[in-house]
Amino acid sequence: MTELTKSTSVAGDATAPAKGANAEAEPAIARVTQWGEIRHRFLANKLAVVGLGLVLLLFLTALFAPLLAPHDPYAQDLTNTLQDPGSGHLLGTDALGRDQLSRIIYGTRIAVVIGLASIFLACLIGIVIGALAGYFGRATDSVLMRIADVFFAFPLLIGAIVIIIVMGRGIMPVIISLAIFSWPTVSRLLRSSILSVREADYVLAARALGADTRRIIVRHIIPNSIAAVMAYAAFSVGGAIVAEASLSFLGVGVSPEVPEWGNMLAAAKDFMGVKDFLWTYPSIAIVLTVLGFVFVGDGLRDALDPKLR
Amino acid sequence: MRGATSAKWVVGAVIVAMAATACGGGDDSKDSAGKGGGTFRLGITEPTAIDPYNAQESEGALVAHNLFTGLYSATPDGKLKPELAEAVQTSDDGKTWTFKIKSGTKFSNGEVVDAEAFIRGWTRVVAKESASDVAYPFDGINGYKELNGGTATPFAGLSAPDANTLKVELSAADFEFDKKTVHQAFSPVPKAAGPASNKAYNDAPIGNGPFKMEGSWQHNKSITLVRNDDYGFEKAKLDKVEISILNAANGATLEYQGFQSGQFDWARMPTPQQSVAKAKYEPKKQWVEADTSGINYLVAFNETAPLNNPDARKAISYAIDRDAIAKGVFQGLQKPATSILPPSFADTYQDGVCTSCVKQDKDKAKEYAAKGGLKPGTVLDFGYNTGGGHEEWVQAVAQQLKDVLGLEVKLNGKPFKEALAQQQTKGTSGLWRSAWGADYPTPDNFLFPLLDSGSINPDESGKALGDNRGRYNNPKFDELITQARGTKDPAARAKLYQEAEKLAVDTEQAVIPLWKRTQYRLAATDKFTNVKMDFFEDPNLAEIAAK
Repeated sequence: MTELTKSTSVAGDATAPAKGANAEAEPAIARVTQWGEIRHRFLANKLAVVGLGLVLLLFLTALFAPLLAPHDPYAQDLTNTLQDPGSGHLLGTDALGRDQLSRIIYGTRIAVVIGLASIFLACLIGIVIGALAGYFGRATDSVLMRIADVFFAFPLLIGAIVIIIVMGRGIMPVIISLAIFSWPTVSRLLRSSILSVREADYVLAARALGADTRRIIVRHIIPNSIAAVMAYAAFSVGGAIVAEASLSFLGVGVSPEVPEWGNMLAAAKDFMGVKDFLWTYPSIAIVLTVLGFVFVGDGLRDALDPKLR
Repeated sequence: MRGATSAKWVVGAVIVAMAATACGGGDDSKDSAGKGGGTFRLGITEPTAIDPYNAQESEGALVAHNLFTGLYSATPDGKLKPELAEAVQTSDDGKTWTFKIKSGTKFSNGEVVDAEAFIRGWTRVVAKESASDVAYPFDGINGYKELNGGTATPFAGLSAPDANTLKVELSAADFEFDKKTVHQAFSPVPKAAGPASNKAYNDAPIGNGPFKMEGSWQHNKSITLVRNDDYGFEKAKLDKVEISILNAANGATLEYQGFQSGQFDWARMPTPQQSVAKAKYEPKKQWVEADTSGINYLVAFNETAPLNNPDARKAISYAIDRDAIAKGVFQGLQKPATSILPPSFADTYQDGVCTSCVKQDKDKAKEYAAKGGLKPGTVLDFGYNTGGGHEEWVQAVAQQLKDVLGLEVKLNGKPFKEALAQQQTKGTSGLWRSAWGADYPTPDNFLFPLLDSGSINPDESGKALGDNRGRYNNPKFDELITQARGTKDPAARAKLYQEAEKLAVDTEQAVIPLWKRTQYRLAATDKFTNVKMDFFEDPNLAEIAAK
């Protein structure tokens, strides 16, 4: 591990050509070197690169779904239902004669949107609450962390189902319900790393210089504590996609005609042992997506903080 | 109490199967009566109750039907078969029924089955403290309200002029009352039964049926029945019936797997597996198939736009291609329905009475849509209960409505309880998928609860507590039902019911029939003979014999 760290710092210098360079030479070099080092450490991790590849593939598929899909994912053909994979329909058709491949391809869109949006929202809530708790400590900390505990203690799926039943089915309710039960981890992570940087010299210095609280949190504490949150976020997008598919599988996620992997699995479960291709391909899509995000999250964590390895 | 707790709503495609009939397949028994003995094994899910005071869904009814024998039973084709009722007299006003009860039969504990045993049993169901979910069929008997409301203890409408005569007085004419007694709630019970709160009896009912309990009901595990050798009619041939209680979440799957592995001799199976199972077991004559006494249909909310006029409802019905869905989505295992009364009621069945159901007709659909104000782009709410295997075909229907009429169909899947709550709420609009199974073989059991204005039953907030969820309200229809109930001649009565059906289902399209209720079972005909599906979609245990 030490070898790797050494070589990266050298390479880091090489990749430094200052993208974000500004007038002040010295700090600029330091910053660039740090990110370059991170990037190099990340790229040196083979699994992380594989993960990145999978995630890119997912994003590209979602972006170009209309070009990639051979059929309209909504088009029913009742004379052609439950066709085995083969010519015409590469991955077969479902009980309504819809093309499985096209539905899997379009399924990436829901996965990407819900996965990213729910975790983004969770991070937003988590960062604000974690920062407040970590910086102010004492009573604020206790109150906010107890609130976080309440949400943390709630089983994700059950909590999400309750929220969806209240709000109704759809993409927004799913995003919101997943975010509501995912932010506590973010806030805990941020809080604990803030506790460790709060007393750092540069924070004391900033305070001595008269910087106000907001500025200290936003400009000094969060950037130095965010590493763990970023790694966690990348990691949990995969989890959010699984949770979203689970909700649809249970019949409370997005509407059943929407091409979505959980919906496809729900429709396929009755055909187990009869039409196995109905569940295998959506399952593979979910597994690859989750692995992609997990590898990226792992790689990011190691790259951001090599001491963890 | 009718309504929410009534067990007649058919929730899922397979698991919560309610009453119905059968024509039997897989019957290769013409030549052999079979020898005695043998153990017949099958799986069910945990019943609500097996004590007739509250046995309700198919699972509990199966046990109760084999432990008890009442006045009548129903044949697979929906005909009434006298059991303990040796003779019957009906007054000309249809309000007084006198049943002569076969003498000399006994409960399995030796007590005599007489008129008192019936009065005891029926009172036990209706009594307020029993809080039974199946008291509603007794509604027409004098004194029901008082007994059920707790203001009187004896059942005023019931009396026993002598030991073997049961006299029943009704509050309104009902010439089909005898058919209602097919329901297991009308069983006689011995003195040993005690009140409905008697736990020992609830779990090991003593009856007068072809079988009796061996030990008590092992909750979530098993129920074992053995032949009642003192049975007052033709004795059962099987020695034993072993009923395993399976996990409700995947009961049908477990039954099917159990049949394949030889654990069970009778099984239901998950709908999607049926086509494969049929291909495998039909050649072996282990496939039993029947159009039973149930119907799958769409509730149309008659009071609320956009389906608040018959033309709009006809447009919907014409736009649905039932045939394509039956073949494509159901793999030919469901058959399109063209009436709300099932074909198993031979006396009243009218094939094609719903004109708009016979064949998809896009032009007529558009024509009626224009007349009924159903413009392209109209938002149509289409509700269904989740977890019942309905997700697929409702999408197919939605697509057809979109394609043919340009409607914006909003699929609204809800768990069963919430689905029910929303259907009851005033102002709910659009369509709702629904199914209905008969409790007893009478057209009244469909037409009255589903379409009579007396079955809307709104509470003060306007919530419809009755089973007429679509709130169809036509005094002419109500009048026909009342008239039919008061008509003594069976043929004239059937005609009135038919007229009522035509008015509601064709002229006014109050509901939209979709598919018949067709049931499939697997039966170990290699080991047993004379295995059939009975009126209630269960195996005819009392007649089965080992080979």
